[in-house]
Amino acid sequence: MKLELLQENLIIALNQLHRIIPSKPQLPILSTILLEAKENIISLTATDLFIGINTIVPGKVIQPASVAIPGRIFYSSIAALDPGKLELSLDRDNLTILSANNTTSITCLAADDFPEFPQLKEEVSSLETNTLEKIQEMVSFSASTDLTRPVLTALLFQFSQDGLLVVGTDGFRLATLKLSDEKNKEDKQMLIPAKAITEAARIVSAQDVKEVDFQVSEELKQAVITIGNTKLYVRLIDGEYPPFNKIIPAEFLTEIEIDGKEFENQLKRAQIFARESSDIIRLQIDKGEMKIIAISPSFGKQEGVMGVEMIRGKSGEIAFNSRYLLDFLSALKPEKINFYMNESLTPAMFRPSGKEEYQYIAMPFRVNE
Amino acid sequence: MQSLSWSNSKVKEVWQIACAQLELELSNGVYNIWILPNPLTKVTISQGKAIAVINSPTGFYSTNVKNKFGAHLQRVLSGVIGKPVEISYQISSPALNKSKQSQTTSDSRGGGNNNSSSPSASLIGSTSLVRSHSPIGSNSAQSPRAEDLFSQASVESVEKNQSAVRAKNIGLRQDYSFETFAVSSSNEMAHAAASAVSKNPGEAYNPLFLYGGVGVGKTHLMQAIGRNILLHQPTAKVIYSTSEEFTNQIVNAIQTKSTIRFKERYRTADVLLLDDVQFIAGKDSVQEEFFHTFNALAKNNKQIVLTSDRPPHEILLLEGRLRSRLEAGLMIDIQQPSFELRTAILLIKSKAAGIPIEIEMAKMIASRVDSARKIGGILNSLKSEIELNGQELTPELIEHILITEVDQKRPQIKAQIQQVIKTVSNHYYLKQQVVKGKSRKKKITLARHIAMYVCKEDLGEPYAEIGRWFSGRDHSTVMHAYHKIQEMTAKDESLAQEISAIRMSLIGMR
Repeated sequence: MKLELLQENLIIALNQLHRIIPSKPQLPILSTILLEAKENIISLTATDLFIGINTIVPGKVIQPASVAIPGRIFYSSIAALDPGKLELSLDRDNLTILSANNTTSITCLAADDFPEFPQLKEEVSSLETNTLEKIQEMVSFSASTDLTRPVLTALLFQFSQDGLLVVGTDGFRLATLKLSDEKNKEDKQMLIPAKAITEAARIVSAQDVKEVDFQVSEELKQAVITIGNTKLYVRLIDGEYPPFNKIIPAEFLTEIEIDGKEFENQLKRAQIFARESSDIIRLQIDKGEMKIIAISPSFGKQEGVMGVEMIRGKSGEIAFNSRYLLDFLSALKPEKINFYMNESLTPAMFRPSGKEEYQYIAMPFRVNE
Repeated sequence: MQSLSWSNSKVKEVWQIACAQLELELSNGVYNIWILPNPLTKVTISQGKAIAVINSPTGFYSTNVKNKFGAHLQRVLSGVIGKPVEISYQISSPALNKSKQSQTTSDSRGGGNNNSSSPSASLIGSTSLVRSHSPIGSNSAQSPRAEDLFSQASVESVEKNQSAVRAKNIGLRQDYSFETFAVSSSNEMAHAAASAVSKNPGEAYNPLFLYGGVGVGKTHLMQAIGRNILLHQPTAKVIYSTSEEFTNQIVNAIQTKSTIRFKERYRTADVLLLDDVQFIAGKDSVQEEFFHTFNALAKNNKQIVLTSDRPPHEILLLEGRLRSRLEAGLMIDIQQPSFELRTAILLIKSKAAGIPIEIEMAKMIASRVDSARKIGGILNSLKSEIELNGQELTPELIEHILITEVDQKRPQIKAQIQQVIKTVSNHYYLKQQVVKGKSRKKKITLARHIAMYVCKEDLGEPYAEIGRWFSGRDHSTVMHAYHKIQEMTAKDESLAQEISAIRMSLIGMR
């Protein structure tokens, strides 16, 4: 094998791959990156047998061949090199990387042992990249990271004639985003790991593409997301998604509008004192203003006040875990927020003003004085 | 040929034997990655062959096991099972099975020692949805607790909220529910029937026909049926309409040539609630449309509830075929509320309005106000006096409101004593001379006293003047009669109604 490529191109590809390489797998082959060079296409592949990534690096193939290169050492040594032309050549199981001032030699494994990727025959559908970015920004953060509840680590994609509905929840808060433009003739739904969407969004941000392709196999429980010259293989999640429709109130008695940035600042101030009591902060809404209160049993109390525009309803009090609110604010960075509530113990809703297609439902906390 | 599936324990046994063999033949790493995570989960024997299911956690595992070790596995399994084996590769997540097992054990309730915000396992798709969550260090003074979003309590409260909105969209009033309906002898039948209908719509009594005078609670019961059905069957298509709306919609549909849509709307209903059905009498095309709607719904056992101010046979100009349909169901008469029921209604309504009044005050109002609808008016004025003018809730305030609301708002009777005597006499089918005369027969004395009462109460004539009209009786006799009737009306419902009927006919006079 012999090929030439630029360090700056190779490192972009490796940046996408190296994160998924398992650190101490039982088979050494699983910690490798497969480098395939054939007919002027240089591709890199990695997998942990749950997620797989395949990407293409621009370069020149002088002599085609394939080899499995130990991932971490490959990534680290390429990252340490200066930008510029690299010449890669293979002699038996020895890969030599020749750059301006360095010669790096890595012992590799046979490409044949590298795990095969599942082959999907299903139809390809596509999504605009800004839709994917929207999903990532507005919904992904709501999913759980707790692997003991796999269903909640996924985002629900519900396709129908009315459009695509994406839902994320960790059991204490829930985000839904309705994308009316993404209509689908048949009703279907699938659970895609939130981490995969995050990964896809990261790849999108590194590439200049307008559309992302999706291919889904129910039988293989696999989805392939194609972003430009990168393919992301994702395991779909099995199981029944919680009945999210049942916990979204159809109406709220109180609605107020507040400034997003000011609210975020108030929450951050309150959080200093809330830390000791599970990050619980209290919101008291009364006569055009809202108090944000946090009490620390050992250190004291923080009380902030901000003006609100009462749109309708009465005064009220409600307590939340401030992290759930800050997650929402830092993910969406809304200029103005509308906050909706009923009773102090029933689910309440936040929404960036004017974004009717979006709902962020948070479960309040019970505070015993 | 029959196919036979092996029991789980037998499958496990086969797999263990196969594993022992594979472990020897393969390297440790290969065995751990490509064999162990992909167990045999099912064996079916059919036509002398065994179909073995190999279950992998992902498509990656499955693809590689199949392509790299398929033949090897097939050989080993055939040897162990003793029959030719075909392998079927499936994918399912082992984590799911694991969490199913741990559900029963790992249900730790918020004891304060959960070390992070991450809630413990299980819950989705399981029945044990109720769980509470106590994150980080709840040894603090406040003990914060958050129910899971999908806890029973949260789902229930939101379901209530959602059904309330549905009810509102249909046009049902928020406060018209069975909980706020006061029951006594005058309406207990109606209440029982309505409650039965709401539990088994289309099956209990169909159609249910409620009739009675103004403000007896027909509409309240009817809407309560609708609400209750929605609460238990959120997707039921309930239509609530007054006869006037029904009529207008037909007229409109005919004008815009969209009768099809109108028919579809009404004939696909699961529950039809039609208020004040007496108003469709005499409107032929409306009656005809209603007749067909009625038949379409009744045929499919869809519930129909109707209200009217009188029973079907008293609705003039109602088509015979329609009348017989209406009479085929259960017809229930709701009587005017008794003094006790009015008191109870007052207590319920005042509580709902946020101004809970004492039972004594409630009695005071109930004795002076005769319809349930007026009670609402009195309570509204009470509420505004208290909330806007900062008044205290006292018997004096109630008295003040009763005077302005009941006594002054009563239409002024501009009649002569002569006309009162005439009207009262006609009402009791007596001769005026007898009423004015000296007879002491019980029936005649009552009529005479009522006439005197009305002359004093409504016309405000002096006692002596009234006495002159009744064979020159003394003013103290009239005073006695006045107080006697006043006392009686507070207790005797039918008497109070008779007097208001007399008043009505006097108002009509000029």
